[in-house]
Amino acid sequence: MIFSRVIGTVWATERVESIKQSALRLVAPCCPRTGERQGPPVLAVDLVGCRENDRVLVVYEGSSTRFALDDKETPCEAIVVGIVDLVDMEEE
Amino acid sequence: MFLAQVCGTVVADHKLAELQGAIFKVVQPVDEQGRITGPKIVAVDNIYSRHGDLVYLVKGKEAIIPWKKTDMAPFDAAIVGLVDGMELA
Repeated sequence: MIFSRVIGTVWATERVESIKQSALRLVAPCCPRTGERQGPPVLAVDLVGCRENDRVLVVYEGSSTRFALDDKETPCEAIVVGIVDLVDMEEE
Repeated sequence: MFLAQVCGTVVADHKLAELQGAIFKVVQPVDEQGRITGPKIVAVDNIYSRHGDLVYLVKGKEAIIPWKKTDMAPFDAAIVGLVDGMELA
């Protein structure tokens, strides 16, 4: 799972049938300690009701997303599975 | 799934039988500010996007799911949505 921050929301009415009903968040992978961005943003289907600037856990793997969405017709490969409350890491 | 800008079309008549009827679009992966985040790739278009549209794609095995023409097809990127709007933090 990739530690990410929610940086936005995407609306898309014209899209493939099966993922019409779910909310699409724009998430950016970031460092768990510093929060500094570490890569291009990704669209993830939001299953936990996260909001802007939340730190979240994102699963990038296809079959687990289809399992979570319980929909074999979903062309989706990233879902938000959890909202992070606390990160406790030693200094490197 | 990631954001991309449609910047061209590819026509390939001579192709694998399973790909008959596929519309190929050249897309440029971008981030939320429109900055380029990777090399251009060619993806199968499921939503009839036009030049310059901001779309989002799915890569890997999931790209084949919206493909209804054959049960299996050899491609790994598909345009699955047209972005109407974005709200950034």
